[in-house]
Amino acid sequence: MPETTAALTVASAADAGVKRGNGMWSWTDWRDPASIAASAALTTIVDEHVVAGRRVLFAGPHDADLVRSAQAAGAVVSWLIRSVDDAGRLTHDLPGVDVLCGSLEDPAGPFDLVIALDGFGRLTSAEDDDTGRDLVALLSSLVAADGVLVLLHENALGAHRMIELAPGREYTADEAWYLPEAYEPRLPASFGALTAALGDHGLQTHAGYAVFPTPKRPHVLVGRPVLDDPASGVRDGLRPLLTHAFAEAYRGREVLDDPRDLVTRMAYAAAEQTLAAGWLVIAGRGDTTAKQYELVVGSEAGQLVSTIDSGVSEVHGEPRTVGGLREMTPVRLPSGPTVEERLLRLCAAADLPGLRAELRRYADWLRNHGSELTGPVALATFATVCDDGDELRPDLVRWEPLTPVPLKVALHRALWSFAGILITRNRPHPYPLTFDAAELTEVLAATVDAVPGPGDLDAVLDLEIAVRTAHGDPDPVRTRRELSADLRPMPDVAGYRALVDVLWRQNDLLQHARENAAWLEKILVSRDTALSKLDLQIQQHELSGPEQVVELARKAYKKVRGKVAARRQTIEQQPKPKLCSSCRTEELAAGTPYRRLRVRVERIDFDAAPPRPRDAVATGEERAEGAIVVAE
Amino acid sequence: MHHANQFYGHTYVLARYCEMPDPDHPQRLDGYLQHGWNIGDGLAPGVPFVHGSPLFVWSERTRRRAWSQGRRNVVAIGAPFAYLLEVCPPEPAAGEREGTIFYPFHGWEGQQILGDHRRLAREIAETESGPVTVCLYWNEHQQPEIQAVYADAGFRVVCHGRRGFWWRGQDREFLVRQLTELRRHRRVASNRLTSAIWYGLLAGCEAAVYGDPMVLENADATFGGYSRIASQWAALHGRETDAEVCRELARQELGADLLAGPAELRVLFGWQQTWADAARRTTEGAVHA
Repeated sequence: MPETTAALTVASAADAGVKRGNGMWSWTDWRDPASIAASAALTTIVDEHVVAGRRVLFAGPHDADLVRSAQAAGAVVSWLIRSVDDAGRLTHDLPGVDVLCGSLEDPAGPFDLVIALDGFGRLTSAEDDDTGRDLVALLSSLVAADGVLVLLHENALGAHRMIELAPGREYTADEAWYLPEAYEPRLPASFGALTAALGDHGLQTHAGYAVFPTPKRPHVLVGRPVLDDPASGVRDGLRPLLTHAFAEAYRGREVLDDPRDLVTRMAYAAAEQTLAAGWLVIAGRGDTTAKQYELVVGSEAGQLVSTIDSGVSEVHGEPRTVGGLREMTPVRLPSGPTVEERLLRLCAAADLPGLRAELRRYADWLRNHGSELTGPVALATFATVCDDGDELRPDLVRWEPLTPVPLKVALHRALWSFAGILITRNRPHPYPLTFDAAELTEVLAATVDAVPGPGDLDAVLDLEIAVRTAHGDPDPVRTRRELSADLRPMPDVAGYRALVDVLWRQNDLLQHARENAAWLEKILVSRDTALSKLDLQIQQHELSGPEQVVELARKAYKKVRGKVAARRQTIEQQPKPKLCSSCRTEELAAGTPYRRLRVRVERIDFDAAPPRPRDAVATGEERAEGAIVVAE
Repeated sequence: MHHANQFYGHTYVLARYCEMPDPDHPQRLDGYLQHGWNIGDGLAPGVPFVHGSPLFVWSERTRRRAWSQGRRNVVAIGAPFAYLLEVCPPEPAAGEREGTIFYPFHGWEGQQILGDHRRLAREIAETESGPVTVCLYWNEHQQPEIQAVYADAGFRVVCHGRRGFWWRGQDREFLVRQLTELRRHRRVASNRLTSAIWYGLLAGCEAAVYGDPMVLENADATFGGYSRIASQWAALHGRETDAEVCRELARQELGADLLAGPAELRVLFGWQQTWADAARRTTEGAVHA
């Protein structure tokens, strides 16, 4: 067991065994499990540096399984925690691990391996005065002369920060008791600054990665050789890989904006280093070395990790099985742009012939695999199939079904998923804007002669739920309910902009529905009139000869009588009296019975009360009032 | 369902193409169908438009133009005439094409044409070398004095029928008749660039636009009027034109290269369910038989 400073003391029976310094009481860093950095890719990197018998320090909150793994490898493990409660719990949960409670000044170094995957953010406590503390120097000082530091430092300019929907963080987060970082960066603000700062403290960076999509779930680690070389061969697959990783990371979460557009632009600009969620550095003193991979890719919900170096891919870990799905091995680097990228471009350009050709190509590719699909092809969608220039490859499919999937279901799922993207991401397309996801699926399917019949989309939904469950969907029942509501999906990543688009679309649809209803009413009136006229014509044709004569005579009589009446009316017509507005209203309401009264009210006293309808029950007082109003 | 969708028997042609049951009776089409070649947004000027309704236009260019005019629900599907060519492929044993079919520019029920038919007839006679057929719009065909002008010049005078109005009086075979006539002639000509010229080109004719373009009563000049047509599609104007260049333009204007398949069109028009029900009934009937 290593020595600790004299400041560390045993506090109470509750945290017996904990070496306590300036630890925080009534505090935990495990309130949100998602805030603990964990990914199979990180585990792979860390495992490479853990050596039996050597001293390892985990600085700050980490995944307990990662700590156990180091312990199981035979290392002498210490763990620095700032919360007294957490330290007590972990001491109980991880016997044999030397849990230290306090801040960076407290552990008695040096250590052969210092692991700080949580960065610097939770290495200080409310008990410390942070002003003037150099956290890089403090952390570096814990590394032994031939020791190694594995540090993941969050990028304040990271793409993940740009899309975060967390207004008022300064006041809502309990741990934001001191946030000078927001105003004056004291910690390295770039990858170069980080390596330089470590170098100032005698640590040479052996390997470095830009991590994506988030610093807490970094599934894709892009190595420095790729970052430094815009012409790297690995870069071709980077855009779809990162887009996919961001989509999976933010699926179902509320964000400022869908990250996929930002990530796509980032990849085109080769700005991965600048906009990375964080930087993972492996730095050491003396003769230490570290393996630098070009790329490290872990699956979002699985356990497999692929490391890629000089074009050689190596798989680490064991595949998971969830429900009826099994994790794919090996994870493949995208061989080119995804089919989805190409289809979105064709849709935006309203290139119908090109769009149809691309859809047919995909359908033919699926059909070539048979009527019952197995392997990754069965779960392929446009977003997970890449085009290497010659053929299509399901490079981004992470799972395969244990039982075959009918060709029709796989094809409809791909089309339906794409229809959902067109709608929920408000992408321009050459089909009616008023179409919902089911209708768009139909029209897309029609181009490949596979219009879904009754119940076909239900099978698609079943498969989709299974896949989402494997990806860690916490509430499949709710997902099914949402997806099956007219098959009109909500945005998979609930960006504020996407939601504004949804609102615009709904308003547009509502306006269309209202105007359409009004138009249909007019048409119905017109049709009713036309029908009535036709009916009269038919009735006349059905009359016998004598009946037709009688009918003609009746019509002639009606016409003559009408003309005579009209002439009389013209002769008798008197000049219209001037009426006040209330009298006119009364007249309109009452109709002809008021004609005489109207003539009489010509000399009306307009200051008096208005006349009453004739059929109103008049009281004696009202009669008297009426007598005044309608004065002769 | 706008009544203009059935002008010239357009919906009947599309219903035949989509293999709809009972195609001789109107299929309700969910949206507005462009009913004539148009230099605007695909709609005739002044058409009452229900906001947000799908607008089915002939060409990608018209779709872009409509978008620029604030229309968002615009779908380019190609002209019904282009679909008719798919439904009625040319007969292999068809005879040699001969002569010219001339379409004097026509107005419609609400706008008359102001121009000198006699002068136009003289110009046609001076230009055309073979037999000439003059096709009049029905309201001009009903005026004996106009018919006589062309008949006296030695031309054959025909009329393709009425386009109909408010779901009544429409000639379902209008386009079929037009296609038949076009396929008989080597050239199609008019004194204005109109749908008929594009149709003729697509049906295999050479094209020419010449003569007094006449004046349409109260013509709408929002999109530039005829001077714009004459400059933007100058290749078609003149007594002789480059057939290949004109044909390519016709393919673009009539959307001949972006025609949807029958199933795709059925879904776009909201006809798929009717078609599927009829297909099921047919299958069930065959099983019972």
